[in-house]
Amino acid sequence: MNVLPTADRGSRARMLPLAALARLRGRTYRAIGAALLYPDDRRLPSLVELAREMRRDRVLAASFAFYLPWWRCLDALAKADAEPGSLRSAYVRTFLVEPIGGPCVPQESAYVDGGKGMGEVIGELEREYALSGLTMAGTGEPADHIAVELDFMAFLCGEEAAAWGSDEREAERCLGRERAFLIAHPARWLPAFAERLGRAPRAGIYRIVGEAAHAFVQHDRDLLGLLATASPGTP
Amino acid sequence: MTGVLIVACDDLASACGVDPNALEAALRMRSGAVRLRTVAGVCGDARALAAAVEGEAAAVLALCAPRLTRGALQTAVRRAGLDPLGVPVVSLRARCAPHPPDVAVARAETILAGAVARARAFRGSRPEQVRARPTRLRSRRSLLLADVEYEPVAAVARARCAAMAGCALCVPICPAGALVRDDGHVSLDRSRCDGCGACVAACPREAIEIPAYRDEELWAEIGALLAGADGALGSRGIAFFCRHVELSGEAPGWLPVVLPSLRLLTPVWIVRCLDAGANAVAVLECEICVNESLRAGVAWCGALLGAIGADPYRARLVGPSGLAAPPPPAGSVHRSEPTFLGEAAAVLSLVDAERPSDGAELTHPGSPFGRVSVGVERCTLCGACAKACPTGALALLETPSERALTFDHACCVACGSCERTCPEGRGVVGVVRSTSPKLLRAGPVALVRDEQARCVRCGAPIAPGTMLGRVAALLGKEHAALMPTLMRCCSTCRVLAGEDHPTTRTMSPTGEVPLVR
Repeated sequence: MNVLPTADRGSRARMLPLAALARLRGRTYRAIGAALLYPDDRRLPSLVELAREMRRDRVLAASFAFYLPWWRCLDALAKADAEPGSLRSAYVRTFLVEPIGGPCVPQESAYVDGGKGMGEVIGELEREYALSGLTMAGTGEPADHIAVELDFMAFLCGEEAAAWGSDEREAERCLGRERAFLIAHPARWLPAFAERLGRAPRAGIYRIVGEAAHAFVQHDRDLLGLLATASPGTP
Repeated sequence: MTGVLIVACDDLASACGVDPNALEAALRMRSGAVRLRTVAGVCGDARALAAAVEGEAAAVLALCAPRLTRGALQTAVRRAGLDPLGVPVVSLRARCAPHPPDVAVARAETILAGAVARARAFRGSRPEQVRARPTRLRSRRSLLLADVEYEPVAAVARARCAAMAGCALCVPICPAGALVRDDGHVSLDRSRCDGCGACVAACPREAIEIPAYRDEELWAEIGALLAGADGALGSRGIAFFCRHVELSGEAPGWLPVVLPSLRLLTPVWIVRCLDAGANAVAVLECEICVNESLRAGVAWCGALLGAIGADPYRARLVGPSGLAAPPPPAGSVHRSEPTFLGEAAAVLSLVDAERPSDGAELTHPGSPFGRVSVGVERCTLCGACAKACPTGALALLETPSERALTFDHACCVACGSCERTCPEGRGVVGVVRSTSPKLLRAGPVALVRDEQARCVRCGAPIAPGTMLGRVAALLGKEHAALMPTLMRCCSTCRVLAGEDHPTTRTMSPTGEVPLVR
């Protein structure tokens, strides 16, 4: 699988290993989700560390159109521990109590079907997680919180990455599940959430995270569609 | 002015016949803050390419012959921190090598000046405006995916879209069926969109755009191509072509402008080029892109040129060998400083340069303008047509004493919405595709006007006389008793006057004034 940077040696077409791609996508989902949780003393250092680590390996990410907003986001997250107080203020102002126009609620229920089916969405998501053998960890975030949905996507990507080495059919099944979940949930409401975040006054770093999340989900949806329809070429 | 880096192969001189020093000096004179950097083997080395453009605000790739896939090229540019859609790639060998050295330098300078202007004008792209092109897994066994290539697609700006008012002009135009009108909005299925831009050309409100092919980005390139004197290139013309065809064997004066599809091209773009100094405009035929609408549009340009006494052949569709002959020399067509003009202004500028007093109307199926006529006897001035007009070409003006339907030829795109909406049936509103310089110059003119009947109680306007007459005719003898109140009172006073009316009395057994309208 060590064939990644062939383009840098001047070849005509570069080959991207699917397992590494799945791992990258999983880490990106996890990082975006983590960035949209309250940055307490426990979470913030690990988030900054994750961002710094991801910045070191940009070769694969640069192959995809989400790279530029994602790179800006990593840049901002890598420096997020400089002023933890203002970061927390921005979080509270943006997601919890902003009085003008209401907070940018980071939950699917607030955006889907005009916020009518809140219980239904959460129930549906909990059933979906349970089918994969997962239950809510009891950290307080509801099942339709953006961080939880993206963490589930990260979990599916991890399953896919593991399967590429051993069971190709299983990996393809994972791709199908990722695509179905992405279309049914995050891709359905994240653009509206990011747009709202973009308009939020004094959102600071969270505006950049919102842009990156929107770009990543949009392009990952395309990429999954592309992987689902790609046919094997001649070796 | 944004500094732009042009990255070129170090064999610019041998492969393309262009002296890098002479080229850089000429470009600085022409385009301001421009640097030219030659890099060994950059055409096939992604790492060298990324390193060369790293940290730049804007860049142009002047490659002798790109040996990287488009996906790999995009990755390298992205890795350097630039949006690949905003970095024009010019294949210098194909454009310059076949020509003598002085012409090759002049062509390289002109074409790169266009690319530099375009890179400066690029406004960025949003995630929904970019899509991965279908690709193939190189090999399932080694689980590899070939480099992903991204392409721009259209996006609808809802704030500018007139779908809520009933406009859906873009929907039937889309050859891929990617646009749907649903719930008062037009939305685009990105998986079906092939980025041809037909919807962009059809939208009268500029609510749809494709990044890198926006009006200002295209015009920046065309304006730069046409700026300055002809020099070694001789007579200059603009050659529009699409991504489906390869340009080759063109005479030195033909300056290429590539579009995702010729469907993006409206006839007014041809007029703009002619007005800005192109001696001719050629549209390179493509089996995929050329349709009846484009043929009619190009034919209209020719007819317009003919009508103003210029050579109609200066605007034409050409086959693969059609660019071998140089553009006709400067003649009757106006040359001006390249300035972006609105549709009507561009046409008037061209017409005024030749026949300023000419007011002859040109009726032609390819006219981008429409002319609305209204049967004065039957129009009731209800305003339904004005409400349906997506461009505001028809407007209803109301004063206490008069109501008027006005028409602005410069805004009309002949969509026919007014004709279809008129409640008085066929024949009252008519639309023809035509161009009238006189009307374009005139601005909004009243098509129908009528005095307002005034309320005898409060003096407020009731409705135009023609509308009241039509209502009276519809009510006929059966409801004749309603007429005196209807004709004399406004809607408010009509309620108060309701006690005078026998029907209303029976509806109000308590004797109170009922809230009827």
